[in-house]
Amino acid sequence: MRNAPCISVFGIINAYVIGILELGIISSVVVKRKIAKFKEAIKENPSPTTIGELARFYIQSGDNESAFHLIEASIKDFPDSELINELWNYLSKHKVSGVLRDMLQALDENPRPDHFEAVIGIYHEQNNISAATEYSRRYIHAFPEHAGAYRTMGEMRMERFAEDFAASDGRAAECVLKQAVELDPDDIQASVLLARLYYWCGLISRSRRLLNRVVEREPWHQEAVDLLSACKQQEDQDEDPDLRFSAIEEQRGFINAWPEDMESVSYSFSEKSRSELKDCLDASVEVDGVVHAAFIDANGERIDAGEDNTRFREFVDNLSETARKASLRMDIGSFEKGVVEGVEGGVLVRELTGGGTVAFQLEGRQNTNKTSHTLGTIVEEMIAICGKSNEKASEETE
Amino acid sequence: MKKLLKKLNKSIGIRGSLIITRDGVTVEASMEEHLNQDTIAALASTLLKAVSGSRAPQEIGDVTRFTMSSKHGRLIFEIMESLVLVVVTEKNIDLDITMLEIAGLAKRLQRMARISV
Repeated sequence: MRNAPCISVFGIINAYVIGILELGIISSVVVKRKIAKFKEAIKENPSPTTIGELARFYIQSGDNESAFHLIEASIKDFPDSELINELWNYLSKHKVSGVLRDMLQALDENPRPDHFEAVIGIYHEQNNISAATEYSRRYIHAFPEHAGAYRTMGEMRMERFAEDFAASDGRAAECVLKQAVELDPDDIQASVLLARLYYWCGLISRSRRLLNRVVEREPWHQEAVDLLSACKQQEDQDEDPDLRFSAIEEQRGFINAWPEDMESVSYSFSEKSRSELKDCLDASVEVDGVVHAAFIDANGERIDAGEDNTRFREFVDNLSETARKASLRMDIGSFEKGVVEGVEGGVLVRELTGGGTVAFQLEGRQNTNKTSHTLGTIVEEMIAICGKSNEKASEETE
Repeated sequence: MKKLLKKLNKSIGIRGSLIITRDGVTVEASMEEHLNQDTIAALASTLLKAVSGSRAPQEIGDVTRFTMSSKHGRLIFEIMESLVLVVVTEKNIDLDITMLEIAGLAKRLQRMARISV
């Protein structure tokens, strides 16, 4: 006689719960072990790559807080690392601090101008210009007759303008700041911001008119006084601002710097930097799946590696130029990276901070993601070379 | 098609989407208010021409996807037989999950396009 299996429902549930608990305990042990391993790797070789790996693991485990503290500590040691900066930007946005959380709640419950300005201010401090701009937009929508809303948006647009030199940011900044001044001529800050914008663009008489009005009302306003004095040293120019914004986008730089110690970027590469960049490109074509590699500096001069391929070069030239212009015109900021995936391969294009574009052609579709990760280290190195080269060039011109 | 785009746009981080033909003609679009739909459509068409067809290196084969990342946003082109789905997203979204949604929608759109022909 066979005994029927004795299955207790309670037993099954109990086993299930214990299983989940055990799974939880086990996964917690596994997670702790993995973290310990990552930390050891950082201790042996503190680099953006090893730090980035631990940060990513924290993020994937849902622990943005730990990732944030890790990157916050690392950014001082690796301020030029693109990976660390990317992670910093991501975590700044996704780690909602207690203060921000309270302000967002206050804004939700009672959308007042001061609540909007507090939230925008916090995002601005976190260098989260996208979120700050988005809330500025909502501020205008909620309070269309409030000068502060337009002034705040003007500030954000000027930040973006100073980063990317996109004509759309210049135009938007001018439009909203003019609106702020119209709504409230007593809003001195809006007038000063607009004057600064005009000064950047070499529109001296427009800047001077605004500043004279400010100084008449507030002769103690230091920035207005200093900027007015700077205007007096400039040639009196006037032109349609629209044309001037387009010219600035084209030349990728302002006509006048303000404040005076505002960084201006000059792109140039020494022979030594070129040689180092060539070494990086040669190393990249040794990576499995990479067929061609090219670097093009801001002046159009190029360095190639791999087999000679005119079609690849022309494709990259055309794509990076088109993407650069399209990106600014779409008002999504400056172009950073493009990935073209084909059935048999792909092309990666990356703009380097420091002036230049690097591109790789890959064979085999399955390689695109994996290989781009491997190429990340090489790209980081190239960014560092570009950064050092531009620092040197700036020192030499000073 | 508009309904499908509106549904896609409800996903977190997606700011707008449009469908264009391989020649760059807009079929349907749905964007957040502050985005200039016409400008984005025109520029999407220019970008499509830059990445596909005779310009692309032959060795990579037919181009099926183009992702463009910029400082304050991202553009994803899902290139099908006769149509292209273009999606505008925030910069920092979970791309893996979003790509699944986009790829799924692209397949549905292509099926709709085949049926209507």
